[in-house]
Formats: sequence, C-alpha cells, structure tokens
Amino acid sequence: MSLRRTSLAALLGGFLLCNAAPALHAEEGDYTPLQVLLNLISPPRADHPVTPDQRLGPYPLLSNPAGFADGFKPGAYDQWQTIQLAPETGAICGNGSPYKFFLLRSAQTTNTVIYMEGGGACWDYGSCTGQSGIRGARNPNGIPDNYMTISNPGALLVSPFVGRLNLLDLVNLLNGEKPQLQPLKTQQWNIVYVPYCTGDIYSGDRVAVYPDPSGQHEPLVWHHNGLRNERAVLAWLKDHLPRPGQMLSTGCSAGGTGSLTNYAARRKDMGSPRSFLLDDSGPIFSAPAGGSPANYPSEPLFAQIRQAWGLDDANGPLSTLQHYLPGFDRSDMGSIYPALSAEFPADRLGHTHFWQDLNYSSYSYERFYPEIAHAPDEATKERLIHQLWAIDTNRLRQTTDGLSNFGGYFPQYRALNESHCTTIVDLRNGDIQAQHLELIDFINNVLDGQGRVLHASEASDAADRAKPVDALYVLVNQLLSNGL
Amino acid sequence: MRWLVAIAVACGLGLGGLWLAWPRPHAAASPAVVVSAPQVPRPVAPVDNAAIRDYRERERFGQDVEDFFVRAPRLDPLTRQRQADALREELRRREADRSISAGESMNLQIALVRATVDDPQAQASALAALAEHFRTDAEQANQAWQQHLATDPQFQRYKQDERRIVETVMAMPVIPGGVSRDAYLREQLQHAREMAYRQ
Repeated sequence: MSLRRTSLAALLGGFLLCNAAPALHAEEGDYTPLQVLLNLISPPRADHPVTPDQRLGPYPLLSNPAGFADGFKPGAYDQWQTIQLAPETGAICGNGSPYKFFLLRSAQTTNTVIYMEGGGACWDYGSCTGQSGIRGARNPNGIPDNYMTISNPGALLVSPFVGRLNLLDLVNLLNGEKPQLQPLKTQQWNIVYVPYCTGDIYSGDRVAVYPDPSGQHEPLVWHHNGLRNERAVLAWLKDHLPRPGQMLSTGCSAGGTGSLTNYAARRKDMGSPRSFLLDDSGPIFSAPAGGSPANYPSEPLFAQIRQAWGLDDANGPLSTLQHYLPGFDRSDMGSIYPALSAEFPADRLGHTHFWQDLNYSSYSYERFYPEIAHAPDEATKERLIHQLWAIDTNRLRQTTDGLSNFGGYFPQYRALNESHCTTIVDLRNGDIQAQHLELIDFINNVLDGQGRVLHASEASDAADRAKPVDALYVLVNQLLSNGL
Repeated sequence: MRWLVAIAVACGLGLGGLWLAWPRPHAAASPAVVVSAPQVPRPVAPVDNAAIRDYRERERFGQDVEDFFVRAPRLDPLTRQRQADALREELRRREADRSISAGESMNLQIALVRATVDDPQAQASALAALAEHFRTDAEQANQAWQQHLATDPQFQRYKQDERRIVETVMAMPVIPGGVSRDAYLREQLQHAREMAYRQ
C-alpha cells in the first residue's frame, strides 16, 4: 500500500504542478505542460473543419480531395513542412504550377502567425515574366518544394516573425552593446508561411493573357490567383489544426497588403477569440475611382490593377471583401482601414511603414508618372517619388489617427532595402527618437497592449541618417543588389 | 498489477509534463547574468520518447545560439572559434531536419562570421565566400526546380492544355453560359488542371 500511496501522491503532485505551472506564463491558446507532452505523443486534431456553408459562394473554402498526399505529418513539430494543395482547392501559382505553403507546427500552443511573403507585384508581360529592368513579382517560376531551405535573396530578408530562433539582437550583441533578448510573443507559435507567386498582393482573381510587346514570344498566360490561394490555405488550416486561440496576420510589402485585404474573411472564417493584424509596408492608400492623381497619387496604379487582377468583376474580389466587411467602399479601397476598425472593434490592428520607403512607392508611381519614369537623374526621380508617397502617407496617418484600434507607426528611414519594410532582418532602426519609441514598442503594443493602439509618426529623417553605417545592412544590401 | 502500470504511466506523463514546464534558462535570464555563462545543468528527461527528446534538443539549440552571442565578446579567440564551429555543425543538422529556415540560417551564418573573424579583411573574405555559397545554392535549387517543371508530365500536360484553351476561348465570338470571358477561361483552365493532375 505504501508504494501505491507514493505513486498516487507523485502522480497527483506532478499533475497539479504541471497544470499550475503554465499560469505563470501561459496565454489564451497555450497548452498546459501536460497537454504539450500529450501533444508530442499524440498530436491534437482539427476542431473547426470547414463547414458545408463555407464551401459555397464565389470564394469557397475548398479542401484537398480525400487521399491527396499533402505531405503533412501531424507530429513533425518545429520542422518546416511543405503542404501541397491540390488543383481542386482552386490554388495555383501564376505560371500554372501547383501552389503550396509551409507550416512550422508548435506543440505548445494553438496560437498561430500567418505570415504572407512579400515580393512586388505585376500587371503586364514584362513585370510578370521577371524581365530585368522592371520591378516585377517574386517567384515567377512557382514555388519549389524545398523553398524554405533555399538560400535565395528573399530568404535573407527573413522576418523575426518567421522562425523559432530569437535573432533579434545579434547586431547589438556583436557590437558588445546591451541586448534586448526578449523574444517576440509569437516566437513559439504555429507559423504558417504563405509564399507569393501570383503578383497580385494575394488579392486578385483573373487569368490574364499578356502579349509580348516585342512580338517575339507567345503571350504570357498568368494566373492572378492570390485570393483563391488564400482561401485554399485557410481551408487546409481549418481541416487540420485546432482553432487558434490567438491569431496574428502579418507580412511585409505585398504580404502586408495581402494580410490587410484578407483579414476580414480570415478573421470571420477562422473565428479565433483574439486576433491581430500587423501590416508592414503594404498600405492601401485612399484613391477614389476617378479621383485626381494630384490629390490621390495612387489612383493610376489602382486603375491599372483593378482591371489587371479582376478586382471589380461581378462577385469578384472587391464585392466579396464588401460582403465580409460591410463598411468597405469598393470605389475607394483605402476605406478598408475604418471598415476593419469598425467591424472588429475588439481586435488590435496596426500598420507601419517608413516615410522614406523607396520600394513600394516606386511600384506605386514610377510607371504611372512620365516625369518620374523619365526623370533626368536618380536624385530627381527619388525626390518626385518621395513627394507623392508623402501625400499618400500623410492621408493614411490621418486616417489611422482617428481609429482607436488601428494604430499607425511611421518612422522615417532605415539604411536597408530602400527603407522598405520595418520588420525584416531585425527590428532595429525603426525608432522614432523624438518620442523615445522603438519599433518593438509598437509591435508589443499591438500584440499585448490595452486601450488605444499606439499611434506615432516621425517628423524628420535627420537622426536616422546621422546613425553610423551598419555593417550588417551594408552586407545585406550588397547581397541583394548582386542578386545572390 | 494493472493499477501499478497505469500509475507508472500516469506518473511518467505527469513528470514529463513537469519536465516540460521546467523554466527555460531564457525565461529568467537577464543579459547581465548570462554573460558570466554559468554552466547550469539542464533538467534530465524522465520520459524516454524520441519526439520529446527532439523537442527539447531544438529548444536547447535556440538557447545555445543566444548564449553564444551573449558570451562571444568575452571569449578567447580559440574558444570562440570552437564554439562557433560546434554551432555551425548543429546548424547543418537543423537545416537537414528542416527545423530552421534558409533565412534564419543565412543570418546566423553571417553573424557567426562577424562574431569570430576580427580582422576586417579576413571577415570580408569570409563573408564573400559565404555569399558565393548562398549564390550557388540558390542557383542550383532554382535550376533543379525548373528542371523538375520541365520534366513533370502532369505540369507539361496542363501547360499544353492551357495554351490550347486560351487560344480557343480568346477566339470565341460568344461566351456560353452567360458568364464573362475571364470567368469562362478560368473555369476551363481549372477543369484542365484537375484533369491533368488526376492522372
């Protein structure tokens, strides 16, 4: 009897300790240590699969057919898994090759980051074929199965949101400076990496046939299929994983825009109790259809992509977005900010980009304004681009300023990747010195704050440009410009 | 005896959970404390399960990386190099089992060079060699993928069908079914894909 009592006491004590311990650090969506152990031995199954209703409508959530080899191994935690999506899901890359995405599963939590990859945009033959000299879109040849382990240039711009290693402060450590070793809140979450291969900021739905301007090659058949790909990823997540207790939608550049445009549908279809949006450098500026470019500099771009990506089609992407987001005005896509804020008042939403961004801004204006396209020199071109970007950014800042749960964070300049994307490589140098703010303050405020989401904007780039040369940034810029 | 086995299993699970709940060094570490690099013995796994062992190993690697960069400035060059080499070896294993992405690995490799090579010229050479390695890796992988697509019978069949369908639909004077040309084209190509990959 003594052994029995001892065993029971050990069991009870261990069990109580195990299930009391997580109270010290656990959050909504986290498993208890005992559950983690059980998960490692027997992975939890999905608890919110796609419903019959969700399989209907213009953009249904379509699952892989029974027996399809998607490559998923439920017990392969903390390993990047390639998840294949069958043609029946409606998913496809721009060049017609199969679409897939990548999953880093966590045994510790149901909480999930959905990270959308950045990588430009395209709307004609040159930009969609990856022709040199034109800013185009990433992955024109589709997505290799081993994509997450290929040392390509884009991989170097990895976000701290994508991975388990806490590399946030390597440079400070290398310089012998005081490190900030606290990992991001999401570091141990499930990470879903959604690759980009459709050139349509994850928002289009049109098979375009682009003729070769030179007449030397056959027309390019290009699938701007981003919205359907997003729906297929969502269907798979619902069919295979537990519902996230907390969900962060994020990405930089096109990935930021995709996170923004897909937030409402994803939010409603996933039904996570807590949900966050962090759009890094993928703004959708206000540009009423037919508005004057002098007042709304992004209007020519939007006129182009509305047609090229089929955004205005009957029951197409914008009408579907309006279905999920009644406050959205299809004639002005910039209305998405107040619409999201009103539709999801309990969610914490954030947008960030640099005032001196020269990448997204070039996509936005360079090919639509002759004075920019034919500027006599680079300095003039940059100045003109910055002028238009400032008009658009200023209006967006005013919009977010008026929204309590949609923060705007606008630092000035970083000597990396044309000041494009604040959350890639590391989170340094997104500071707003005059207000003693670092970018991480904004991120933590979105993910963990209370009350009004932080709003901040930097007035001058002088302090940023006065910083010493950063060796890591020089190296990354160099590797990127060489195309690796 | 059945109750004894049940209790033993339950105890194992309970203690395993406790082991998992054991505070990670990271949770309590302040940089000032970690710099002194105390050799704190790590908790030992009471449950012998490969999945659990792998789980803790991956956690340990993340902690080792962090510890190394905290300590590196204070290590003598030989020790620093030895520890960096050990991390590189571990990194290769982590790449092989896909627990680390290329982006993380590339950034970590760059950081390891910067942490271990003090001479600016030697550092530049080492980074250039690393860049060349990245370049070669990316080129080979991209070529392999394009080769795969070029020889994938399902993809090639679809692309043939795609060309034919596009020509047909673009030449149609009237689109059947009351849908737009774009919508009709998309439906036809969707059907072609499903057929091509079904075989």
